[in-house]
Amino acid sequence: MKRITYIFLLFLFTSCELPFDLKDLGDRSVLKLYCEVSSGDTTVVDIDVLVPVGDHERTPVKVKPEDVVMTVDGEVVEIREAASDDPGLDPGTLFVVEEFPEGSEICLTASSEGTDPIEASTNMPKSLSGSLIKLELTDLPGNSYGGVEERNVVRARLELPDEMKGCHIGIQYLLKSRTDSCGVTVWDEEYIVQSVYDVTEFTSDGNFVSNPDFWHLRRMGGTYIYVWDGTDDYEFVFYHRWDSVSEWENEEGATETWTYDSHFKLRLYAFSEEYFQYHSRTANDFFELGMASPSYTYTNVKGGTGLLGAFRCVETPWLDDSFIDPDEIVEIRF
Amino acid sequence: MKRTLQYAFILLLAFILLLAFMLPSLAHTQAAVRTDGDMTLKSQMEVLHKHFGINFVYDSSLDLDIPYRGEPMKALAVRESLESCLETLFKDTGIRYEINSRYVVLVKADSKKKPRQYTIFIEEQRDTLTESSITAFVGRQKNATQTGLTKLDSKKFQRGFYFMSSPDVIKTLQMLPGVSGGAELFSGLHVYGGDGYDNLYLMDGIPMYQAGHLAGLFSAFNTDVIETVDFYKSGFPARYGGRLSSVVDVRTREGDLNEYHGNFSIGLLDSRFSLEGPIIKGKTSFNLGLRGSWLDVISIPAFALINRKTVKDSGERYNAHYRFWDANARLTHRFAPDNTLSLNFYMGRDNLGFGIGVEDIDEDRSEVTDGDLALNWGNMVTSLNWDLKLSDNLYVDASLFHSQNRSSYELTSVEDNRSYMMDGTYDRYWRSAEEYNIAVVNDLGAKVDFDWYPSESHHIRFGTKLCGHLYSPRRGISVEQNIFGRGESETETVRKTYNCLEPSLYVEDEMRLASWLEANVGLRYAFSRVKGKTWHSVEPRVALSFRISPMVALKASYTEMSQFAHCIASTYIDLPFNMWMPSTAGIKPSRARQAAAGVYLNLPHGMNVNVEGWYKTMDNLYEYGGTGTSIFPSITTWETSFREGKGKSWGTSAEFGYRTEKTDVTASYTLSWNFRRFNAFWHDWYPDRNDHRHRINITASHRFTKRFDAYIGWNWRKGSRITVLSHIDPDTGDYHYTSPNNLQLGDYHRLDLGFNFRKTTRRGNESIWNLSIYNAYCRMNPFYANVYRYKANHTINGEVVSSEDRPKGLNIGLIPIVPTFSYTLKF
Repeated sequence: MKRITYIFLLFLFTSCELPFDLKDLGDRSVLKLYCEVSSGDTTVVDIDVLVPVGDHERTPVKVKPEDVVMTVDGEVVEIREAASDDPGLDPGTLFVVEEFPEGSEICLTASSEGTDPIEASTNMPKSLSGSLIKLELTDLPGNSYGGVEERNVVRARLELPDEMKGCHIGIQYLLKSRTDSCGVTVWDEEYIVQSVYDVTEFTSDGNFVSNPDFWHLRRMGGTYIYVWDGTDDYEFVFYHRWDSVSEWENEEGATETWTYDSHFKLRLYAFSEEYFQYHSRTANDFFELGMASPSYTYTNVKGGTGLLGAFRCVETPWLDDSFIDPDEIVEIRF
Repeated sequence: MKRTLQYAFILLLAFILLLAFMLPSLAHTQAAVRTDGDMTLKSQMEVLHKHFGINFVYDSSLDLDIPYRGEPMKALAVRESLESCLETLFKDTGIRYEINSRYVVLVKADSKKKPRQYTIFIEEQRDTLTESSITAFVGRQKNATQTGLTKLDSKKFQRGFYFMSSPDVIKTLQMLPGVSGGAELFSGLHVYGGDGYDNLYLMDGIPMYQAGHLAGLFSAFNTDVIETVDFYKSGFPARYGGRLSSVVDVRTREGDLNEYHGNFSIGLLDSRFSLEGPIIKGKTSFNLGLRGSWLDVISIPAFALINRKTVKDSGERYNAHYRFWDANARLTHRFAPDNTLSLNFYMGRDNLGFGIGVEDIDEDRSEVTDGDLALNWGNMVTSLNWDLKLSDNLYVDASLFHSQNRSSYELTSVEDNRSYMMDGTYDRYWRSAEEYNIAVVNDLGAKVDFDWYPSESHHIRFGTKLCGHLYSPRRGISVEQNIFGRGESETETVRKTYNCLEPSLYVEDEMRLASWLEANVGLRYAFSRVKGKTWHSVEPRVALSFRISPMVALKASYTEMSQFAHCIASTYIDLPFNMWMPSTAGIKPSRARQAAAGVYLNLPHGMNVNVEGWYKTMDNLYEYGGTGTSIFPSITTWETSFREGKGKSWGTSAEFGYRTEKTDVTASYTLSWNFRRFNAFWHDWYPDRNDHRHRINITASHRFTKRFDAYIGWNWRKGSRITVLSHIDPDTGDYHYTSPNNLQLGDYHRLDLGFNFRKTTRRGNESIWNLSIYNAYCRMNPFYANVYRYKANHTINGEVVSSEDRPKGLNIGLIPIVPTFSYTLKF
């Protein structure tokens, strides 16, 4: 339904397609950098040469480790190239083995033949230690929407240390479950709850609700991380289906049992400004028509494209219904 | 907050009263010491124009700046007739006058020209003269102190080309140098590098938020009731404020105090009706203008025909309708020649609806789905205006006003699915959902403007405005459903309210410092207070005009403008999803600083040449970054979705004009640069989407005979800018955007033609058939472009052996030739 206005507008007119010369878009290659620094000790530096669409058969020169310089608070760190026996990395991948202290400034410069040099910087977010998550079973006032009694509402209230107020914070809801039915056991191993369907009721009908004001949480790009941007009112409400057992009589008169056993955990993120902005960029349908802001082209890589960003992450242990008492607020401090 | 508002209002009221009572006495004092040696013929003509409501028509070669030493017309006009005043004024000046209806034609006394019948084309065409004369356009740029001022009268809009059967104010302004129209067909107005939402549209002095119908396809101004349009691109006088880039000051015509007349027009897409005349002859008049589209007449039967087939084939039923209408009304009562009360009203509404229904019915089940979208939007402006002469040299114009911008959409869907059992019972799933959005801005205020002539060398304007804005967007959603007998419902609403107080004060002095030097120096102060946050704005305005000779003027100006209101739009199209919001603690007012200078020449034989250059910077511009892929801007997170940036624009434009009684030719060229910088998503300056480096506009209209006149307009410009995928990762085959607005669309050019066929009916009324052709040679100008992938097949002997992805760039043009016609009857 939400596209019908555009269809109607376009319906009013006939259209005509005329090719343009792709060389109008320039003939220089550019460097693409994707480097997402985390609190882990290994960081991949994904850097490649992009060729212009007007010369798409051009063979780019590969970026070598010596073409890339990364510094942390002014100190140069070693850029390595993965060998075939490095676990978890494709051969030739550039990476850094380094732990980045909180608040440190990370800079990266690179150059390659036939491209402009690039330059990017970001700051490692502050530590999430001291953050507190309070979990309580609750209900949304005024709602009589079906299914609530089957899927309890969990309110996760997040209290951050003062120095974290105003930072870009995200939260992720992970689930694993086991279903026994008719003697068959199905394990859903750990997975990130990816769609808003599992989080809020209204947005369950993606075809209908087109209005972001009813998205109780905002998802960051394709990451399935729900984010707050700069406010200090952190609250995350989600529906979690607790363990349950049901029995029924089958056609032969025998009793069948259906058992559902679930666990969840919450993962808490702190993002650098660049990481947050890059993953929050959005493009609506008018962008490709040239009728919307070009903010979707966000990059912090000067001279090229891509992202140098940083994030930190902590997570709760796996929780189940024995962990949360309906009359108590559970506190988890990191 | 409430107390602050009360104090502010009391203070303002006190200030207004103080001015109202103190200044007349001050003015009298000034008048008493004034020396008459400062008076000129021209200044005295201005007095007569105001007093008697007459217009002067004269050859621009007449020297009207010569001193006048007689009794001031202000005094004489009170006790003497118009003829007597004119006799006194032009005695021994070598100038002869002729009174014809509301016009006074001036010619040189020794003119050898033979009397001929000319049509005065400064006003309605029914007035004819029996004297040789050439009109001098009151708004000639040379004569104004400001740079960048274009004065248009209603005649300018009736030159023969009517887009979609109606003359269009905004599309006329788009043809001026330094102005860009943005996306084709839409009523965008991008002035000297500005954006579309930073133009101040005034309807009889009251701001309007939206100036278009149907996403800007038609402008909101009905040319039948317009008297003048003052369009400022630079050199903004201090009396204007609140927007960054331009001022479009539309004044409606006072109804005729003596006769009834009007016109009726019917065109391909809309029809118009206007009527004016006296209510109390000589004292009270009305002027009424109505306009409405009748696309429904086409769309309803068209969809009925479509549905006959689709209902039969697939059970699907469609409907769509669009209509707009607007109404202007003006009631004027003259208590005395200089004491006028008028009530002005404008209301415009657009309605767009779209619906889909699907019925899929079998023996054992039925599925019925209905979805409807209804969009409504428009403006309403009401003002009560009192024009009063307080003393011989002090005039006051006081207004109470209300202005409203409202847009709403409502989306409803109903599903009713049934599964029938063998015993005749059925299971039913029924769901009804509704989503709505209403965005309303209400402005309520009062303003007082004073015109004070302390001497012949000074025209001081000062005034104040107190305006309260109430921004109140709200959204709601409700779902009801019945699943196999179990009913459920949920409702949720979101509402935001901003009360904004925005008072302003200004003073400007239009002064003649020497016979060759005029200046308009002013200062404007305004503040905006929302939720405890106050933004102040002090805006200096200076315009200088050096008259080198009677033919040549040099002008320069420097202005600063602020804008407290921001339009939140997820697209650049004027859609009803857009919302206006105030500057808040996190959103600063936008600010523009602009310097402009130019040379303005009035050449012999009705020719003029203007060359103007400008440099402009804009701070605190905002782009809505969006929330998800929705085109509905969020009312809860709009502040954090705004990206702050800045802009700069510079360039020069040259305009040539040639005007005679029958012919009007304008040609202009604009060379400009227009850049933006939004550090929030790009680290450098990048070209704005309306960075049209070169623009050429040529328009010409000519009256061939009394019965036939024609218009031709051609414009060419470099294409708009758009962001497209520009690079490929050879390893993954992924396409990447690498910079904003990286492609310039192909050149834009278009020819418009218009023809008026006039006839006098048996009853003596004038009828006009108009034929207009938009884009006469059907140039499919690129509307947007994109880079697509396509599969290129490699074949051997006609057989595909392999294929690969290749990029292809396509310009997409949407607007073909659009011929329209209309019939107008003037009575």
